[in-house]
Amino acid sequence: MASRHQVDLSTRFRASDSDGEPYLAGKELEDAVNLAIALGRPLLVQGDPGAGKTRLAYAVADALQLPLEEAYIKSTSRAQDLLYTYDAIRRLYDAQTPSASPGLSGDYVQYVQLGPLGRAIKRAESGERSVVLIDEIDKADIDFPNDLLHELDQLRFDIPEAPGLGYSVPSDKPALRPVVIVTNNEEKALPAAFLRRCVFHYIEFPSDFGQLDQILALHDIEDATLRSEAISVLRRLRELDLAKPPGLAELLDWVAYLKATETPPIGKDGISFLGALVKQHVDEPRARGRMGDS
Amino acid sequence: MTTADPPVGAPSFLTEVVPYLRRRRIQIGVDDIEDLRASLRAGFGMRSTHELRDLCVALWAASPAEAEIIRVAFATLPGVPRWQIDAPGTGAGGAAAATDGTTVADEQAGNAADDKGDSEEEDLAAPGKVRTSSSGSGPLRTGTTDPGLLLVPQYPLATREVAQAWRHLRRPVRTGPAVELDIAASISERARRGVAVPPVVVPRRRNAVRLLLLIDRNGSMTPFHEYVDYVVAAIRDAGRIDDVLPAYFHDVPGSYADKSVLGEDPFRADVDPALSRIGPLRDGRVYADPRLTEPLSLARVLEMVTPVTAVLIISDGGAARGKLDIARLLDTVALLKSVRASAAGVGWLNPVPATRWAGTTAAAIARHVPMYSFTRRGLYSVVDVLRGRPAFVERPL
Repeated sequence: MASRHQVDLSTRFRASDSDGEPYLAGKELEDAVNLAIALGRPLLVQGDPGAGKTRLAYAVADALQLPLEEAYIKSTSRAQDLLYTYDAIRRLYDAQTPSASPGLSGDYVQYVQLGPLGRAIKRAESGERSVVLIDEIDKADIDFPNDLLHELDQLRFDIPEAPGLGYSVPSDKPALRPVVIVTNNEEKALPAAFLRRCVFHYIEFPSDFGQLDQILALHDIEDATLRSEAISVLRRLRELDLAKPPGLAELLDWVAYLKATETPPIGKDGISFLGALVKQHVDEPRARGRMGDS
Repeated sequence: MTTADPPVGAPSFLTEVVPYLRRRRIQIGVDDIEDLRASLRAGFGMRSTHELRDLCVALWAASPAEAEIIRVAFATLPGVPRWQIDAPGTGAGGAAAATDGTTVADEQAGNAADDKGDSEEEDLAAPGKVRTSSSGSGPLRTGTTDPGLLLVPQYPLATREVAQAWRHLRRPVRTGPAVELDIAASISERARRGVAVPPVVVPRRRNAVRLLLLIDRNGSMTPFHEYVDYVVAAIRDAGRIDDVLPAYFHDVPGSYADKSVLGEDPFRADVDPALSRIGPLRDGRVYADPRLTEPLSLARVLEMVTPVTAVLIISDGGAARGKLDIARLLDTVALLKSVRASAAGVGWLNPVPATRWAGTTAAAIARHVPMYSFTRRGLYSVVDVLRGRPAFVERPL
C-alpha cells in the first residue's frame, strides 16, 4: 500500500502536443488527465457517443509519446482477459503428445498470452510507461470492474497456471504506472468500489460556437463559411430534442464529406446528406420539416 | 486561504462538504480526502474555487448526477472558501475556462457577494448561447442558471443497490457453444482411457432466470410511478437476468367471475373459508406499456411463465387508500393462484410503508403471499423468495 498516495508530476499531458490526429481538449479535461496521471488512478471518461471519449486515449498516447494498449470490451469479456489468457487446450494437446515438444516440463510461458493491461504492466517492469485504453467497460458483465480492482490498484498480477510467473510495476517508481483510460456509456451501473478508485470526467458537447469552429478547423476544414453554416445546422438539429441528437463524430464525418463533394450544408431539398447526421428514422421527418422552415 | 501546505487535519470546509455529500450517498472516505490532499499538495485545484470544485468532482464523482451534487455543495455551502488567482498562462487550454474578465470577490467578501460573483460568471458565458437559441422554439430563458439548485432526482435506493440485490437472483445454466475447457473432466478422461483423448469442452454458464413484473399503475400508485420505473430500469440494467418482461395493470388485471365463493357474510374480512375453491384467474388483461394503451391478454402472458420464471408484483394492494376491498382481495388471490401454478417463485413489493398496511387489502393479501416494502431490506427479502426460499405466510395458497 506504500504507493497509494504517491504523486508523480513528471508527466504532463497537453492536447496540443499531439502530432497524430488533432484533438481539442478543454482545460478541465486536460486537468482531469493530468490528475489521473499524477495520482496513478484510472481516468473514467463518460459522455455522449461521438464526444471523443475513445479518441482521448489516442491523443494522450500521442502527446506523451507512449505506446497505446487497447482493450475493447465485449459482453463476453472477462477481467482476466485484460491481463492474460492461458491456452489450456493447446497445453493439453502438447501434454498428450510428449514427443512433439521436447523440454516441455517447465515451459508454461508459451501457453500464456498477455492481454493489453498485462503487456502494459510487463512493459513498466522493463522501464517503459504505456497508455491503456479500456473501451466501453459497461458492456461487460456487472462483476467485470470488480475483478479488476486489485490489479488496477496494485498494478501487479500473478499467473497461477504458470507457477512463479507474474509481473508488477515497481512500487517505488510511480512514473512507470500505466495511464489507464476507461470509457463508459452508462449502460450499466458500475460498482462503487471501482468508481471510487477512478478520476472521473464527463465530456460535455462543446457549448460555444468558437470551440466547435476550432475543432472543425483542426480537422482541415479551411472554409470558414462552410464551418459556420455546418455548425449552425448542427446546433439547430440539437435544439430539436431528437431521439439521437447528432454528436461531434457525426459533425466531423458530415463536414468532411461536404468539403470533399463541395456541397453546401443546406441545398435546395433541405439539409444535404441528412443520413450522416440523423440516424433514427423517427427523427428524419422532424429534421427535414424544421430545416424546411428557414 | 490558498492552503499551500495544510497543517495537521483537514481543510475546514471539508467538515461541511463531506457530511453534505455523505448524506446524499456520495460515500467520501478517509482515502478520498487523502487523495484530495495529495492532489492539492501537487498543485491541482489551487487557482480558484472553481478549480477546487472541479478537482473534487474529478476525484469523488462517479456520474454526472454525482458531479451535479458536488457542484451544488460548492455553490451553496457557506464554509467553502472563495478566491481566484489570475494566473498569466490560463488561456492556453481553451476557451471554456476563460473567465478572465471577471474580477472575483476577494476571499474575505461576504457569501452573498460571492454568489453574485458566480452568477456573473455564468452571465458572461451565456450571452452567445442565448442569442443564437432565441430564434428557436421553447420558453424564453433568462440565460442564467442558479448553481445552487439541485435538479438531480434522488431516490431512496441507488441503482447499484438494486442491482446488487437482484444479482442474487440467478440460475446458472450452461448453454451456448462449448468453449470452456473442463480441466477436471479432461484429466479424468485421459487417466481413465490411458491414451490421448480430445479435451472435454463445455458451454459457459449463463443466468437462465426470467422475470415477469406485474406492475400496478395509476390511481393510488401514481405517486410511485417515477420510483417504480427507476427501480425496474435498474433491475433490467443489472444485466444478469435472461429476460425481464414487464406487464402493467390498474389495481387488478381482471376480476374473478364467481363472486359466490365470498359466502353470505358481507362483513367477513378474509376469504379463508373459500380459499381452496377459488380457481386461477384466466381472463384478465394487462398492458405492455406503462400508459396502459397496448393490451395483452393475461392468459398469453401467463403462458410465458415457466418454472424458471420469477414473478414479482409491484402494487400498493390498496394500502395507499387505507381500505379493505374484499372483491379486490378475491381477484388478487385468483391472480396469485394462476401465477403460482407454474412460476418458480412469487413475491410482492409494496411501495407503501408496512406500517400503513394494517386493516387494508394489502394486509389481507400479505397473509397469502410474501409481501415486502420497497426498501433495500425488502428487495433482498423478495429476491430470496423469488429464488425459491420458502417464506412464512399465514395462509399459503
